[in-house]
Amino acid sequence: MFRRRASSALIAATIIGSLALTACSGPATGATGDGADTRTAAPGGTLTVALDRELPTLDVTNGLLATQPVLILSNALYEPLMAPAAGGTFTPGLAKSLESDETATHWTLTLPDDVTFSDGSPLTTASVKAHVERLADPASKSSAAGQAAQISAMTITDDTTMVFDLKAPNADFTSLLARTLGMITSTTATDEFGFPLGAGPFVVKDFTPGDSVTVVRNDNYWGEPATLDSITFRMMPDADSRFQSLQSGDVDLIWTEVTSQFEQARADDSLQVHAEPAAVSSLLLNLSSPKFADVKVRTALAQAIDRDAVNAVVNLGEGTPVDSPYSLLGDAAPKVDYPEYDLEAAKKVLEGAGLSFSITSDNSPDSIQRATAVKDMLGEAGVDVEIVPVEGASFLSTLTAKDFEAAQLVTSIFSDPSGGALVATSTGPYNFTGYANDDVDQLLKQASGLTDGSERSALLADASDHLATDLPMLWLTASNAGLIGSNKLAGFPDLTGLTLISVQPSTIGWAAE
Amino acid sequence: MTFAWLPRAGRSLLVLVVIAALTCQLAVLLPGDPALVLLGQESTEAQREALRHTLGLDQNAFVRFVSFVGGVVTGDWGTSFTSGRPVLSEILSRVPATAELVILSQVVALAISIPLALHSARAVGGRLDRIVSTGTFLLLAVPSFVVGILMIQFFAVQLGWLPASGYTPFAEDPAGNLSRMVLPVLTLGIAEGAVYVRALRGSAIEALRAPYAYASIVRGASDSQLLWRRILRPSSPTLVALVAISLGVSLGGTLLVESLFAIPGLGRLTVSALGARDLPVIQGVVLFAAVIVVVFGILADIAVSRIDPRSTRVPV
Amino acid sequence: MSLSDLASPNVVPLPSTASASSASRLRIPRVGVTIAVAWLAVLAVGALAAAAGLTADPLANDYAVISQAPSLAHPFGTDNLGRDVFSRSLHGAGASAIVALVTVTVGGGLGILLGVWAGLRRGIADAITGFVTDVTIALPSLIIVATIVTLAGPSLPTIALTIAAFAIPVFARLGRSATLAVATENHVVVARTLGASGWRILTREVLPGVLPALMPFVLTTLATAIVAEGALSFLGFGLRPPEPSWGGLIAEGRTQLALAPWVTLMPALLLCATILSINVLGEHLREAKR
Repeated sequence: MFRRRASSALIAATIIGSLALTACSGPATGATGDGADTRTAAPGGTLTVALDRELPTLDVTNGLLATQPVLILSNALYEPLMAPAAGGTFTPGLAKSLESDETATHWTLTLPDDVTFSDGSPLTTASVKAHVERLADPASKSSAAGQAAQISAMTITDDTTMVFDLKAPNADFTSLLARTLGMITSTTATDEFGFPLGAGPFVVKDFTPGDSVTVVRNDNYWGEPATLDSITFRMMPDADSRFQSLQSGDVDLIWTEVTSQFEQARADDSLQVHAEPAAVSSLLLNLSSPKFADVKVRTALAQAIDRDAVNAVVNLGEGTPVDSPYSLLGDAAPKVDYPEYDLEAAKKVLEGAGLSFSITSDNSPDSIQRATAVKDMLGEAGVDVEIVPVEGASFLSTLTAKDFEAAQLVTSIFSDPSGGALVATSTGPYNFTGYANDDVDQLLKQASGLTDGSERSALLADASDHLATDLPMLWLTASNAGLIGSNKLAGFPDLTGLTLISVQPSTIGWAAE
Repeated sequence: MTFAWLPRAGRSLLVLVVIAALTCQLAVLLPGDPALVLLGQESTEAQREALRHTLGLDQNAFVRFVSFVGGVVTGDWGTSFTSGRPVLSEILSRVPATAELVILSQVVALAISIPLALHSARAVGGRLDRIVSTGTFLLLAVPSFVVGILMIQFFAVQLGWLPASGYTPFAEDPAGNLSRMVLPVLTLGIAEGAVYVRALRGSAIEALRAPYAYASIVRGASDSQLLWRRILRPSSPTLVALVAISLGVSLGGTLLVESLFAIPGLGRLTVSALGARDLPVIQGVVLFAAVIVVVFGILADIAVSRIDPRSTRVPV
Repeated sequence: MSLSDLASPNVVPLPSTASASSASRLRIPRVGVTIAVAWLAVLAVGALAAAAGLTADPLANDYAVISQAPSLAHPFGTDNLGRDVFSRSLHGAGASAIVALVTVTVGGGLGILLGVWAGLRRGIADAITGFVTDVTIALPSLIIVATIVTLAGPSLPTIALTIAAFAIPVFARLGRSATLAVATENHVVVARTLGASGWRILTREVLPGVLPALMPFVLTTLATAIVAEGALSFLGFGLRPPEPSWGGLIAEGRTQLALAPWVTLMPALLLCATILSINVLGEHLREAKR
């Protein structure tokens, strides 16, 4: 009897063992670049894309549609007025142009003449005004309500020209029009699912809340028609399920921020990676806590963290170290004198000081891994760190309530120059540290009123230096985020230098044989 | 006897009312402001305040409870914060996926377990019996999330025989629907089957000792006639009760399998509602799941008393 | 809902076990029992050694040995942060053991007390216990657990007590029916007639009869609690990384299943072997009772 049982166990062990062996023997290494694609896409065909979150609705007011991973869908349905370009700048998308006066307070928008919603009705400046007004009303539950409230007046010149008056100067107004605010929807017509019509290259054909969306080519599209006949988006929150589905060929393109998946995909000839450093992580120090009152302690903490090692180990090299809110901005990124990794110097201050604190972090596996690496490094310098994982929905409220000692913030707000002001000015909505420095407030206020690039860069560099000296937040890394797809896909937009992974899928198609 | 379940139904109703009252407290208990989640970090406090008022979040728990129960009675379960659709239709739209998964896995579990259990009970200690007993014993030691992971890696990623995950409605694409259902159904069904085999085998052995079983053997009935005609029915009350309980519990959502295999069922609705602090949906799902558990509990009682009129209680 | 649906659907307490005859049970050979006991003992020693710091630091990253296959230095290999999987698995065993023991002592203790109280007093006590049990069983466990974890944070005590709470109704039901069976036995009736105090009847006459009757179920609960903790961690509602727990380790390793399968498979094997051993002992106990 027992012998029989033992042999069953042996068989089970053998099966698991052989599974492990086959699992090890991956395909041979082969390099795949992120660069521009030279192959041409043949018209027609369908594509299946796996998104990382579940959409209960396709109404643009829902904040999920403005999140980076979902932009590939939002862009397909609601082509935004502006589109991201290299180094945190923006170029016209659906708009013809968006120009500011010298004060960055009055912005003139021009639309092409022939823009239409997907039912063929014209999209005019009146539609834009109505759209913004809808978002400004909190009853619409729009995640852009706060942004819409920055606009004090909209003056319509004619069907294709209008002027936005802002309550305060904002040189980065363009960035707002690349997400919800710029995704113009009709306030009069809805599709068969009850969602306001958009003006994108695709229209909704099928929608199962929380599960999938099928979009088909918009025949009334005013611009170049989309290459693909249709795209099906599947909502698969589990990162491993997405990657396994890509490997097994169930889906053709997935969104991911999991560094080990980029690594595996780069080693796989049949897959191609389209990713750029886009999610900036930093360690916020709650300045109201006496533990962080001394700038010497904050400097020592910064010196104890080896950002290159964090990037190498947690990001597996899929990312880059960061030293200011503007690090991602390519040529515009300032040269900052941020404390270098210097364990000995850090130990002099921290060792034996008995400093211990908690790091509050969102509970995604990568965030926890990064926090763990930081905990380890601080431990080397004699600081005792405890990690407190907080679930997504209560994370920002925890930070807003200043209910933390230190916190890891992973965000895409630094994809354009406005991000710095959000965290560093004394009234910024993302200023969780309680940092208040009049000089920084002045510098950033001045900067947001400047449209001239080089003059502005100088001010941002000054502010960054203040941040690097005062250290209300310790910079960590920017980790890669983006898409992994079948290498048979062509016409993929070049993402090099982009800080916001916003892909317009209309040019993507299957490579011509 | 037929109406023996009536007092129980009354009690069940009271249970549901208490649960409805408890879920209305969730709004107070759960940290995280729904208005902040919806409007985002850049919204102004005035805007959030206005939205909290629109959503009725500024009312006290008792008022919310009364309006929730009143709404449930009239068929209005509230409106989802995130999608703006009625909660009840939100829930009902997720039922097909969960129901298909659960029912198919019960069918698989029963189809495997009934013949195995009956035949191994016929020859206790025989070759089949020993294989079945050992096999189910080993299976019971492997948690379903481990089974699921290994099946995906082996059958979907390595061999490429079956899709790794996803769901297609049956009406749209029957073949696609079934091929995507194979792995999740097996993950759930095999584990349930192992439990059922052990339950039914025990009862069948008892039944085989009864005089009518001997009589049947003496009359020269074949094995399958004996087992399926004479033994299955008297030995099934426990199994029926188990199946009913399992149906009641898992129809409320099978989160583990749903999230492993990306099936848009009630479990995933619950988790995304929790993440978005969509309180009306959370309340609705809790109540819906409770109703199902209660209803299947009553059904189990009725079914068992039909099969075996001597018993008035489920032997749990 | 009961504890078992947290672990669903693997470990369902089998109602038939009480009535099924000995012939219907899987006969566990002696050597099987010995191996099961030995395995649990080895695991307990390992977990204690790990807790005492005798193994590698489960949280220490060694970036020189990232995702290495099992070797002499790292018997279970290392994960993508260069942490020793063997040590992490043993620490995970500790977490599982704590969850299981808390569930049995707290959940089982309270549940049995409630059940015995209801069984002895009947009337109001019975009605209250029955109603509370009905409510708990109809509540969807996942939402409740998620709420509690969000409120109190995913610490080991929170998880253990939450899982224990879900064991209460089942123990109360079983305790009640066991008490009813015992209460009609002659010695209890005699004690009552002789005017023994309620406390004396409880401790001298009832509990000695009830507790042994529930022992097999206690063992089932140990296994159920371990699987439940694993499932919760796997879903992200249990112990959170970097704290090692079996479910968490299995979930964490899943991203690297193709590159470093040992990170998932080794804790999974430990988990299965442990559940199997506990089940073997439970089966043996049921057999021995006859």
